[in-house]
Amino acid sequence: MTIIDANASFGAVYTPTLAPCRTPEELIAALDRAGVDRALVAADAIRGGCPSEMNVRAALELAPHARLMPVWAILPLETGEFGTRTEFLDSMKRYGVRALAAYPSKHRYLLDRVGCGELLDAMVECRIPLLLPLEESSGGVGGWALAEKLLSETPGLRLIVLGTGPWGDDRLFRPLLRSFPTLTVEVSRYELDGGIAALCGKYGAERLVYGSGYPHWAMGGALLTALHADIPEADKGLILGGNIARMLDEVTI
Amino acid sequence: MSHPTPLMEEFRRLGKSVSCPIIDMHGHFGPFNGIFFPNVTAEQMVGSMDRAGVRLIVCSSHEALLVNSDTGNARMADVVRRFPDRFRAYWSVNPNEPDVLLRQLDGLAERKEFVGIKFLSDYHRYPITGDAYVPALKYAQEHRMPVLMHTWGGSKFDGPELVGEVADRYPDLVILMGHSGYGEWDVSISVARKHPNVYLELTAAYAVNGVVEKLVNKAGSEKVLFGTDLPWFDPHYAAGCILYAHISDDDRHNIFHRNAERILGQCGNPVRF
Repeated sequence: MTIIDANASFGAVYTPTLAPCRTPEELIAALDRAGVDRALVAADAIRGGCPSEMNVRAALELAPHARLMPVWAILPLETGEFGTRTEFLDSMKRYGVRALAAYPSKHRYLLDRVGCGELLDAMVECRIPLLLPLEESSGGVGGWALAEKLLSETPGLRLIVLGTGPWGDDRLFRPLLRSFPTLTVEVSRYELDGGIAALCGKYGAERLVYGSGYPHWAMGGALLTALHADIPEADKGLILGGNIARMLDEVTI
Repeated sequence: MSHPTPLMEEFRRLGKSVSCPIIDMHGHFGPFNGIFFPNVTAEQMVGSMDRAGVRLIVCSSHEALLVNSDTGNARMADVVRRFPDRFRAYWSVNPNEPDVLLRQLDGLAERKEFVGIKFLSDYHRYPITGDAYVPALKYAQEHRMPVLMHTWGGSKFDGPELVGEVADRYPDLVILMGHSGYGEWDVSISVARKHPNVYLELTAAYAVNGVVEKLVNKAGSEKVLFGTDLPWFDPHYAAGCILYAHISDDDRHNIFHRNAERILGQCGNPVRF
């Protein structure tokens, strides 16, 4: 089974962190100890820094490590900080970036059709997954309400919501899983007892991806939970790596 | 970066350990207003415990804490009677009903289902240092019943500094700091180091990367307890955080079962597996 962590980060930390992971080498050591093969990796400082600089800087730091796949933060194309849509996609291709993330409250923009429509359309056309941390908000809308707005306005967007839980947000996100087939839930903070098995039984294992949230969250929690969830081995393979691998393979830049 | 240990590998392979049982010192029972529980019955909880090697859990009733302490504690006792090898109970008290609390303490120590008392002060919006808790604290100290307190950093109701005040007043009382005063780690550690009978319980705290190591290195693994809030949190999640923390297998044995065995034994409720 190939295990892929869909939610890891490294570098200088933006928020208080007891055990930071400063370098790509430290991250690889942590993945090795946990038996994790690859990871989608964001620079921790991306939230505090400017994506127009931080994206490339992080990609260059990660470039020597094929197991670490860079995630870039988006901005509205209107300000020209990323160039045109074509230039941005070319840049993603050059640096091997196959997933994007949105931090609209940190980078101060509207994550909607007016603010980011052109980029959202590009993501749909090129099947690029968009990672959205649940604590983010845009225009007074946050969390699952922001996810619902995004998916309603941009059908087909491959949205992966990061960090749901630990209280168990099922009442909030299950209706979204039913309504939006391109929504995926990342489980780094989904501690709910029996939650993974219940979701797999109702919506299918294809709707979940494993992530650790490391180094902010402990490496072993979500990992042991997914490894020993009360579901078939094939479903574990999908959650622990198969689903995100397929999504990244399907990107057409 | 420490290397994988035999216990880590055994849990990874089997999901549990033959040689290292788990005692969960922070469980609950029954539905709760703000969350959907897929596994909410006692039978479902036992299923989750079996998958992760949890041999015994000590629970308090959500109903007793937040709806009706008489009926909730009665239902909790019924669960212990139905599963005597797997469940023990905390008597849940509501400080906002002091007369009821006082009445309920009468004869509590003779009820073998209940091995301790549970405070949920943040939810009750009442400080653990308040007068209404005094009868329960005196009773628990006198009868050697551990008190599991929900504790949270920054709370004016149950922050770790207030736990220190209670421990000063009741030096023989066994206090289990639920959630280890989440966020105020240094204060919690200081309280646990100062007071021999104060323990740090890990529910929710385990998830913060580096916390398990910090508590173990500064307070000692003899002062750290396993807990999950089950039926809230998957025991594998808590176990995984502890297993992949950079501590020794000996520390893990202390956290998973030895400390709980010692506390329950010293309080007159020895654990026999």
